[in-house]
Formats: sequence, C-alpha cells, structure tokens
Amino acid sequence: MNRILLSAIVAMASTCVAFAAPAAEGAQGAATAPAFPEGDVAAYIDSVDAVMLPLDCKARMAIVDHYSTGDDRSSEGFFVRKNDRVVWVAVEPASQKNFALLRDVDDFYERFATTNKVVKTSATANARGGETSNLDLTRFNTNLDYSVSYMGSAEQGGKACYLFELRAKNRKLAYSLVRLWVDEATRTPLRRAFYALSGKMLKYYDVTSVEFAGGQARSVSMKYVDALSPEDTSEARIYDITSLSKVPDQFFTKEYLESGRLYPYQF
Amino acid sequence: MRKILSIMALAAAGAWALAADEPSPLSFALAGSLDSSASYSRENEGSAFEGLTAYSDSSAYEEIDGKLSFSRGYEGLGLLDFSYRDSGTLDHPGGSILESAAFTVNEFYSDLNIGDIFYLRLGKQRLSWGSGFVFNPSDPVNPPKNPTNQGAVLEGVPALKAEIIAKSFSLMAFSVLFDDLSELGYGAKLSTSAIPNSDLSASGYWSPSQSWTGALNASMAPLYELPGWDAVQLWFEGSVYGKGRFQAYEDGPLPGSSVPSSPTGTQWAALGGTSVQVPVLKTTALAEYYHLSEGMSTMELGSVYKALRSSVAAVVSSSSAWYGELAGRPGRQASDYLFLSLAQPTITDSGDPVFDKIGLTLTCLLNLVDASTYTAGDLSLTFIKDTSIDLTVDWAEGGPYSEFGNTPSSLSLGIQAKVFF
Repeated sequence: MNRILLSAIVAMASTCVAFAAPAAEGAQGAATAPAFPEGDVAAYIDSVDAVMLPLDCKARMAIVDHYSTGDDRSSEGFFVRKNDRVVWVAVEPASQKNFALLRDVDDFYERFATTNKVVKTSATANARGGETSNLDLTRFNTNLDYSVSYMGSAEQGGKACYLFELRAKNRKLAYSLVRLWVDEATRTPLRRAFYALSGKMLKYYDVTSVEFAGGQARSVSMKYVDALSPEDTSEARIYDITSLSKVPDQFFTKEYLESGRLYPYQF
Repeated sequence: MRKILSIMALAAAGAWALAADEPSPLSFALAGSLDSSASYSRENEGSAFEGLTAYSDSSAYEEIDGKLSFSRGYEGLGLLDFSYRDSGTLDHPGGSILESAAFTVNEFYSDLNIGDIFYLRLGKQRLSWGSGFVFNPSDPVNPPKNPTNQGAVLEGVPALKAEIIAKSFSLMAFSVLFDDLSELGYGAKLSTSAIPNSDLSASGYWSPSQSWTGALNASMAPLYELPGWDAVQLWFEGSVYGKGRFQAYEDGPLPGSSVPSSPTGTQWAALGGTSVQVPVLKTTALAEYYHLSEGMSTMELGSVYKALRSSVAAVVSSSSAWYGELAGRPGRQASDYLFLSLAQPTITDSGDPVFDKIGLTLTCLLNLVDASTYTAGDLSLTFIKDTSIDLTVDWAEGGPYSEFGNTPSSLSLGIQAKVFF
C-alpha cells in the first residue's frame, strides 16, 4: 500500500509540473528559431509525413521488443488511417488477437481482445506493452500533435538534415518536446528523439530503412531505443502501405468499434 | 429457436447475395482459446442448499471457445462465436464419473453496410447496452452477466438490428425475436460522444412479457487532460422499468415460511463505477456499486434463508420454491452490492524474465444488505507463448442467513491451462 501511495504522490507532483513548464519552454524556442530555407515549415512537415504514409491508407505493423535481460516480445497488427484518425488492430500474439486501439483526433479508445467492450484510454497509456505508447502506434500527423519550429541544419547518420523542434499542443501527449531530423535530400525523417520536461532524453527512434515505390514509402523500419536503458529497444516495421481512395468516417467511432467490425479491408 | 435461426441464416445469405454487385473476396479469421481446467470445491456444509442435490467436490472440463469472423470487402461481415465444453464430474458420492458435453452458439450473425452509414445485423447477437463492468442492471434484453464470474462467455439474443452510425451520434433500433411473433420485443438506443471526454446514451425497450424499460448510460474521463491520470474513468447506468424481473418476497402460510410472489409496481436500478490505473505500477483498481429496487432487504433475505434452513420440514417444504429462484440470481438477490477489483496484468513490464510473466487479479463482491462476501483470486502465468496457466481460488463468507453464507461451495481451488489461437 505504501508503494501505491508513494507512486500516486509522485504522479500528482509530476502532473503539477507538467502544467507549469510548457509555456516558458515554448517562448524560449520561438525566440531562437532561424528561417527555414524551404519556406513554410508546417507544409514541409506535412509533405514529409505524406511520403511516409498517405493520409488515407492501410498498412501492417510488426513490433519486436528486445530487453537487456535477453527477453524478447513480439506483436503484429494492422491499421487503417484517415488523416487524424487511426484504428489499430492486433493479430499477434494470439491472446491479444482482436484487441483494437482507436484514435479519433485527440480521443483514444481501446477494445478488449475477447469482448466487444470499448473503453476510453489515453495517449500515454501503453496498451500493447513494450516501448511504444498508444500515441506511438497512431502518431502519423505531426502537425496535429505538435507545433513545429525549424532549428537549423544538423548531421544525422552521416547525412545532412534539417533539425526541427516539436512542442506538444496539449497535455494529453506523452512527450512535451520532440526533436526531428529530416534528410535534406530525400525528405525522409531519420530520427525522432523524445524528451522529458527536464530536457533529459527519454527515448528516440531511428528510421533504419525505407522502401519506396512510385515516390511513396511501401515499408518503413524503425528502431526505438530507451535512452535511460539503451539495451532496451523496440524494432517496428510498417509495411504493405497501401493508399485507400475511400475510408468512411464511421469506421473511427466508438460505436463502430463496439459493433465488432474489425475486418473492413483485406489484409 | 431453431426455426428462428434457420430463417435468419437464409435471410442473411439472401442479403449478402443482393449486395454482390461487385463481389469482393470472402475472407475468414479465427480466434479463440482451448481451455483445460480442473477444480476442487469444498462443499459448504452450512448452506441451505447442502444435501439438496448430490454435490461433487472435484471436476474438470475441456472447452473450445472460438470466434470465426467472415467478411466480404467492406460491405458484409459476420461472426460465429461458439463454445464446446466437455465436463467431467469426479468423486461423485455414488462413486461414478459423470460426463456431459455441450455445444453453445453464443453469437451468430451477419450484417450489411449500406452507404457507409446504415448497418443491418441479423442473428443471435449481444446488443450493446449498459456501461457497467460486472453487471448491467439496466439491460432488459441480453442474458444477464453473472457478477460472481467475470470470465464467463456471454450469449446474445436472436434479433434484427438496424443502426445508423454517424460521426457524432449513433442510433440503433432493434427487435428481439421469439418463436411466437406476438412476443416480439422492440427497442432503440441513441448514443453520442459529442461532449468532450464523455459518452452518453439513452435507450428504451418494450415487450409484451417484460413491460417497458427506460435507461440512461454515461461514462466520462474527468481527468483526461492530466498526464498520468488520464485513464481515470467514471460511469453511471440507470433504468426505470414497469415490472419487476425477479420474484418478490411474501410471508408463507406457515409461521416462519416464505414464498415467492409476483412483483408489482414500477422498479428502478442504478449503478455507479470508477476505475483508475495507478501510474508507474500499472495496477488497475475498479469499484462498482449497484442498487436494485426490487432486491430484497436485510429482513426479507434473512427470512428466506431462515425458512430454507428451518428444522421444521413443513416450513422448508412450503418455502422450497426459493431454492430455484435464489440459484438463478447470484449477485442480484439483495438490493445493494459493491464490487471491488485489483488487477496487475504483469508484475513488471521491463523485460524481467519472471515477473513480466506473472499477473494477479483479486475481486470481491460484497452484499451490502447482509455483509456477506464472494472473493476470487487469480494468479496468471504466461511463460509459454500463446499459453496461460491460471491458478484460481474462490471463497465465500457470510452468516448463516446471508447470500454468500449459503453458496453451494465455500471454497474452490482451480487450475486452468489456456492455449490461444
């Protein structure tokens, strides 16, 4: 019981800090931002997102968590995206089959694996375990979640990159500050690093490979690293990325998820 | 029932055929589990049910629980949810081993998407109704949940459902089907998530045999803006209905006896619940309270159990109709209940080879009228991929004239191996 009380007090305290800090940090970031050589930052970021994943699309996703203890954990699923809305459905492990996560702009819902019960959840919750939060599974529209500032040129993995600073637009997000490195030549995001309010890096991911077809990514592989425990990593692969010409709005409602219609497209 | 299901199967096939202008390939997906379970129960020798029937103290079963979903493109979807259980009763007082098998279709339906906004579903289905976790006191249509067994597979009802799902609201209208057309039930539900961080629904149902029901359900996440505490949930479920669903208490003809009587008058039920996931620990705590206006009071419940335990054979005999009535309403005998649950899906979530594979759940249903309790614990081990081994313990506590002081078994120990596919 003491452990529970202590955790509760720590969490309440961190919540209070979260309310106080972002405004001051935002003012500091805006004052130091240089001019972006390619024009409008938001439009550029939209184009970077669009190369990786079309606004309306479906794709498969596979994630393997590697722990320093030598333990591995894998899961697979698929998702359907319509701009700011995503439904993610698990197909592996078998015990999680038909677990579903719905993101409707800023609202998150989860559907239990064995029943049609759908309950509200949050961006910071970690429905599938491992290093990936609910937001990590559904973060496809950078401008929706963050205010983006250009910070200058930087090198990442031996490539010339634009460096951007992303500040969370609301407190629901798991990380208030994110840094993004985008390859100047290919407009491919190479790294995202996620920071605590104190400025300490908590985790990052590197894009390890991208396969293109017709100017559009068909598969993207990423490696998440826990900055506090670098031997704990997650490898995520998004593949079979397919544009969709028509995705009904209704698919992204709680009621639709509750009805059990989880297989509206062929995978 | 077979006639109804046959008609529904034909209608569903016809509907799919009509929607086949541009046929998409049919695809199937199967999920489920294979359970092997064994348990030992200690007979509650102080129960009013003791000695009523031959009571086994150890048993085992094998069960397949499967969900076969089928879809054709985006237009058609169906589900067959079935269970097959082969049960064996060991250590029978007569020395024999009893074996029985049962195949149950929990849900079997087909539905059509018309214009991405209108959906028709026909078949045996669980109709979405009620925000309660352990019990839905406002639900007049689905077979009720058993508050003492949260893991039980839930069956649906044969129904035709039409649903409009729009971005900010959904409207559902349905008819519950019975062999006798004059018994058809009709219902509707309007729900919306338009108010930030909340879900609301208002629903109504009427059938000739059950009178009418009006219900209101709400759930909200009041701290959704607070990182770490954004998963805190509150929910409410309430209903008013024209006629009681259970037998009411009445004094019997003999002094000390009691008999079931027909319920009269408008009834109401309410449920309130909350859950929170403790940050860092990831322990989920859940509490739920519900009130049934037609539930029995302390005096009434005590009188029933006192009559069934009477040393006067004539009093027991004239009260014996209560045996069946009480057995059919666990967690619904009294007017007030409190359910508490603590769940730790895994002790750690950091790659620990042992503690990442161990989960714990503890639940307690408290009958607030007679202060009796039904407690269950579960230790879940997931060391093998797609497999879990669960060690369970259930025990009931209460005075001689209380609900859980009269359960058939006072202690039950079980082991269950489950393979997911």
